[in-house]
Amino acid sequence: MSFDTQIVWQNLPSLLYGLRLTIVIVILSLFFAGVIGVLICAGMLLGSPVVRRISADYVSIFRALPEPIIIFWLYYCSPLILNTKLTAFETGAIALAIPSGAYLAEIFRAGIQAIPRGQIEAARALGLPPFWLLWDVLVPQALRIMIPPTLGIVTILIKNSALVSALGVEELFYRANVLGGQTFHYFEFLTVTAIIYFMLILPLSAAVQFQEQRLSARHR
Amino acid sequence: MVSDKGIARRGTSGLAAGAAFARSLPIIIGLGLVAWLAWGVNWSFVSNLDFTVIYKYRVALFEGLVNTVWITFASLLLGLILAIIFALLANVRYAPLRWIIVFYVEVLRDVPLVVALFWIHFALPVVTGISTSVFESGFIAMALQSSAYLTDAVRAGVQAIPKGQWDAADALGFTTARKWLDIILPQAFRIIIPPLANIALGYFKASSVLALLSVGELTTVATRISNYTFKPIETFTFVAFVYLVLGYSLSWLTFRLENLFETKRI
Repeated sequence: MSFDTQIVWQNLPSLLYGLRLTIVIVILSLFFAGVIGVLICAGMLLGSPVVRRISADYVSIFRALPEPIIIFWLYYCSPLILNTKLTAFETGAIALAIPSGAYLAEIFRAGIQAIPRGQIEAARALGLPPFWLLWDVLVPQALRIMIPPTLGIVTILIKNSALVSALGVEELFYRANVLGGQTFHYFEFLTVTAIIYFMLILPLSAAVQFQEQRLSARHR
Repeated sequence: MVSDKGIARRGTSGLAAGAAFARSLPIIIGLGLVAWLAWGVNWSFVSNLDFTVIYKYRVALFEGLVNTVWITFASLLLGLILAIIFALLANVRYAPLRWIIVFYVEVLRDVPLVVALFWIHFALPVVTGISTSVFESGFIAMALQSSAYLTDAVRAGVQAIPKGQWDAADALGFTTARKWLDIILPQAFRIIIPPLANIALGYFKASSVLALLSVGELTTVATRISNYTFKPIETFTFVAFVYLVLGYSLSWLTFRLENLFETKRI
């Protein structure tokens, strides 16, 4: 067994092109997930009882469903059900966003509810207009609580983006498999891919652990 | 004074109007989304769904479910054993060993399960010369990755045990083995149950990732049936329902388990 660095160097541009698509799909689905998260969170906190119920059900259902099932369901079923055809890339981005949106909604809700009621009352007592109450009082405090778990969701999203390769989206993992199959150097390409994923996720997960330690130290 | 009241009243009325708007906004957006989706749906197709395909392939689906449960249970068991060993080794006063464990945990946590799975199936045989079946590869991948998460959980549980317990064990002259087996681990296990249940639920879900290698668990079976019968909606909706029901019952079960231990402690 020997690690053939030559072949990895030769095909590195192709791998990095896949990495670019991985990053694009992660950012895109993170954006969709953020929109879903804000809507569902607003539904859970502000909605009428029926809307609350639906939002809470959305969260509990899509947190319990395995991601591959959501991805396969959308990929195989959306062309049959919908009149419009989605590309594999669009399907993948939406399928990744649906469960992440559920997680984000729960994070946003927890972040907002963690703010002491007295902060809102104090802001109102000072006659702060609603926008500034939101912008100067609620958002800075909620963001501080929300950022570490949101980064955690980003790491999960990067990991799950590898599943989209099953739909033929040519992201990093797909490229690694194709190059491995073409050159019979699975060992090299899969190892390099694993290292790239590791280097992508390590800073994020380290930041999450650092933040969590700092937060828990402050609460102690 | 008057102006103060005025500001306060204007503030609250503005807040009320804002709240009313914010309250109706999700409903408006939600209804708009539903209308948009309903407009895009091919209703003539949806009305002709044929769920008899589930009954026809019930044996295959049941076998897939058994495989899912079996691979989840077995890999978590091996993962837990590995995790306890690593958590014990993390307490050894030999720094390089601790670094190796930290590195192992971090690498396995930060690499996607699919990548680990394919690496074990396609790359590991190049190193070891032993090729594994897809089921074995799936089992090894899940066991190794869950062991990384479980090591963290076990380590946190051990650290949560008060210093007094260690001191008491030392004062009573317990051997290291008895100290761990009789005092530390049983107490740690009680603390570990909630994170353990979370990880178990996570890996029940994650086992469907193994379908990318056609390991033969529920999602693989669903993909095969849907490809063979051209009835993806029926198959995947049913399988999603099975995952939901099992996942919910599992989380209900762990909730009861936590309560049981909680009452025992008091």
